[in-house]
Amino acid sequence: MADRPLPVLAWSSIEGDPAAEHSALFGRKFRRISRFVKLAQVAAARCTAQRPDVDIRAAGLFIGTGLGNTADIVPLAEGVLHPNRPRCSPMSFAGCLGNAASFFTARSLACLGPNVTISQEDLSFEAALLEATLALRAGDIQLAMVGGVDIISGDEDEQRERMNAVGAPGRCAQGAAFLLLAADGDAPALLQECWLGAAPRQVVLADLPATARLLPGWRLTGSALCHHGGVAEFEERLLPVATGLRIAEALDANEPSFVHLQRSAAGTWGRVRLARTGRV
Amino acid sequence: MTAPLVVLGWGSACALGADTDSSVAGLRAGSCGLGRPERSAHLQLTDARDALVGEIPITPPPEQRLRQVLDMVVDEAMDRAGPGHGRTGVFVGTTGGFFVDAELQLLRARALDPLAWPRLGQRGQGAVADRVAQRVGARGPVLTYAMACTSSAAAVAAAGQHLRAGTCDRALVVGYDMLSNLTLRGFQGLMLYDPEPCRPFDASRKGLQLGEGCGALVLERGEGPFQLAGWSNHLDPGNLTSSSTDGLTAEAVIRAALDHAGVTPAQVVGIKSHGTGTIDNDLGEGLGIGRVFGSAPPPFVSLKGALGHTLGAAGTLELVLWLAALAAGFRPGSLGFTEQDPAIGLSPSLDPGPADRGVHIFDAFGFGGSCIALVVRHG
Repeated sequence: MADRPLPVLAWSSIEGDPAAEHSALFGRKFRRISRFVKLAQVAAARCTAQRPDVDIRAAGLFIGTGLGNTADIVPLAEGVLHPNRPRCSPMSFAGCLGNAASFFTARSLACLGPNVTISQEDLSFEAALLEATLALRAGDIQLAMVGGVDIISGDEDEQRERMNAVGAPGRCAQGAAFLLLAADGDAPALLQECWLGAAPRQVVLADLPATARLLPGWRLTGSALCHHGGVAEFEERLLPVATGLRIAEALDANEPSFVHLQRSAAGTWGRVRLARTGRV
Repeated sequence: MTAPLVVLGWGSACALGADTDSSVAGLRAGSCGLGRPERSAHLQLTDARDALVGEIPITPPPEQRLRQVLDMVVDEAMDRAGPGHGRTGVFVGTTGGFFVDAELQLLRARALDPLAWPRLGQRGQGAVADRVAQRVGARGPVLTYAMACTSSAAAVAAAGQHLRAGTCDRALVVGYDMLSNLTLRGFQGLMLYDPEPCRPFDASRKGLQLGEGCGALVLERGEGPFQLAGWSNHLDPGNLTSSSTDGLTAEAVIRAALDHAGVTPAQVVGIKSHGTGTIDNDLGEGLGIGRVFGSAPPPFVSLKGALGHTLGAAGTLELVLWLAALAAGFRPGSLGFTEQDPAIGLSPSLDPGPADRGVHIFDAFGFGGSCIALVVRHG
């Protein structure tokens, strides 16, 4: 039996440098808050601003990040092992925590329900979304903020190496996205499916919207859509949590239905399906 | 659906032993696994070399032990569990993954050129789960939780959620963290590293020691002597790197886990505390235990005095060792405690005790406000 769809109350995305919007949102510059955390906070604030009528104090917060706060982790590691002047600022160490973005985002939103961070390179956003759907369907929570955030650090070559994307087409990007999901109720969109697993390399056509375009890397065979390439063809942006941005953009564009497919480098598949309901 | 969840197998490696039987023997004897680093040649700093740490007693150099430990523990757990059926999901909790690889890369370059400044090809934590998934042929979800010291406790809770939702038929949960210069230096910088063996809940406690460790747990839907019965996840929004000290968060997360399991505090016969030996954690946790259980709580024990703090591995590793000890006929005791802290007003159990049947609680608290409690029925 298929799981019941979950209402998507609001969504948001941001790509690029969050500093100016972060300062405007919080009234001043926070020099000690990392770009990684700022991106998450800005995207989350954009999302909740769409639904000021919704009380998210008891909502769960689920964040996925492919690589975490690499802009601070790498310099910190280099500083710790500096040949002449080893150093490790406590503040920098704390800022490198895997769950720093979910902690500060929860605080800025006063969103104090269960708090989960998933960090696993590929499929991190999908994984966070899956965790939220399980908690909503189990009745543990009634609302969930689900986000993805990743940043660029170092030069283009370094970022590509880190993403296992040397030579892949596309451009390196940084950004964040959020969805506000509910256990039930009316909403402008529905999350119909979020699934992770070792699927055969094909998707049944009936699962796809009529408007689906065939992207490079995919081909039609009979009643199935088969993948025959790497993951990079799916997305112009080289960004581990690009799925979140793509979903928010598809909903912004009023796409009647949307399927996002992603295969991790290790071979796990992720599939997310959403549909607009026609409600505002 | 609240299907019963059975623990079918486990594996572990920590400062007390490279397999679970060795570590359980160490717990029974009241052994302490902490000492000066002897096997972690990559620990470069003078103060790191002088620190007490908990090392897994195997001989390979760091670049080999990183993966050897993981493989050994996963194999032990899967062997104990026996053959499975259907889809296996992999749920990993770790703070650093294979980050030590990046430190080794830097140190190798510096060995050739002291001024070398190589680009660190540091990747995310998911490589651990990918390796585990490949090793066991996982066909279910493969997920990595990065929630500081609660990472693998969160992975246990998530595995329970996934099994009940039917996204997998068997869950392999792994907690994994190895010693790195970064974490040693970081905890020293935060003034949380005690140069003397840690003293959880003691009036004179000053901090923790780090240990390396890995624990693995195999769960399925079904009945058995150890049932994962409930869990809870709370956020302590007070401070990124220290616990609230009023006991309210610890109380809330324990009560929520008991509610989730459908049991009462009166049914609890043992508490595996987080008990790091830091001033704030032990105060908040101790007061929380008192708020739930009163002035005469069930035996509560910290394993950090024996293992050190294994960070993201701790949630699963300490759960595994506790269950394995119960299966061997005893409940572990705490090391390092001599004098009750009047601010807490409670004392942990020092000596190993009987393996009481009933409900056992497993606390995990971490940086980033992460608070997890797990409930296991020993029947």
